[in-house]
Amino acid sequence: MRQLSGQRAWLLQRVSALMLLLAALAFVLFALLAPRPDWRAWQAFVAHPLGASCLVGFALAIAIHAWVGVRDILLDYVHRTGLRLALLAAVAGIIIFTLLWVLLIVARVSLAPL
Amino acid sequence: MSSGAAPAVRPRFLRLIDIRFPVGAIASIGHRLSGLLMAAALPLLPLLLDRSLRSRQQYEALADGWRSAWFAPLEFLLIWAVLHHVLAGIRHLLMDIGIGTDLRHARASARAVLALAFIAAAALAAWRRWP
Repeated sequence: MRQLSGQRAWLLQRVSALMLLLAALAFVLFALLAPRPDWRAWQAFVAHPLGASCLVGFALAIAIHAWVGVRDILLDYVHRTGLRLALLAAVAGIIIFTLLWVLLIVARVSLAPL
Repeated sequence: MSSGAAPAVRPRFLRLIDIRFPVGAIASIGHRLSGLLMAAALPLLPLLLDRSLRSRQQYEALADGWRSAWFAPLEFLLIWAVLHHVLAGIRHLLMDIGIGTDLRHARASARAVLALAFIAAAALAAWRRWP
């Protein structure tokens, strides 16, 4: 049986936090130094493999970070097993749905003929 | 309860208005609240991403609609949530590697996080709406 130490969740939470911190820093730098991109430039960024990777990496980090965070809160405050499982399942469903939606959008824009 | 010694008669029930949370606990609860708030707003992200990419008109409309007065309270709340979560998160990460863990510094940084997030969020929300 795997030890229920919570160490993996702890590590995932911190690795994703550092990824998101990097993304936030990049966003602030762009907002301060560059003018708002027009629609064509924004679309080209998402369509480019590098931009698409940034976006998917960001979405992945948010999904992991949100899952571990909300899971921690539910485990701390919701003690009735049935309710806890139902809430955890609902949260997991919403996060997976959100992640798949982002992947579909990026795929649509990346694969569309320009 | 201000004297240092334990009271002779302990309170028999929780009087919520008499309970004072330490400032570190307030910063920590704020970290959880702001995280929960952003998690609740998570499905907004693909929605906005989708609309921003569909057409030039929708892209421009998003940038302008974001400035409407109706959005101001929600905008302040979301900016506060992001700022508080990031600042309190950096504080926790620094503590993980042993920086600022003694009581005096931990209290000072908790106060700084609480104040900075609130003031910066108010300033940012106001500045974006400056005529």
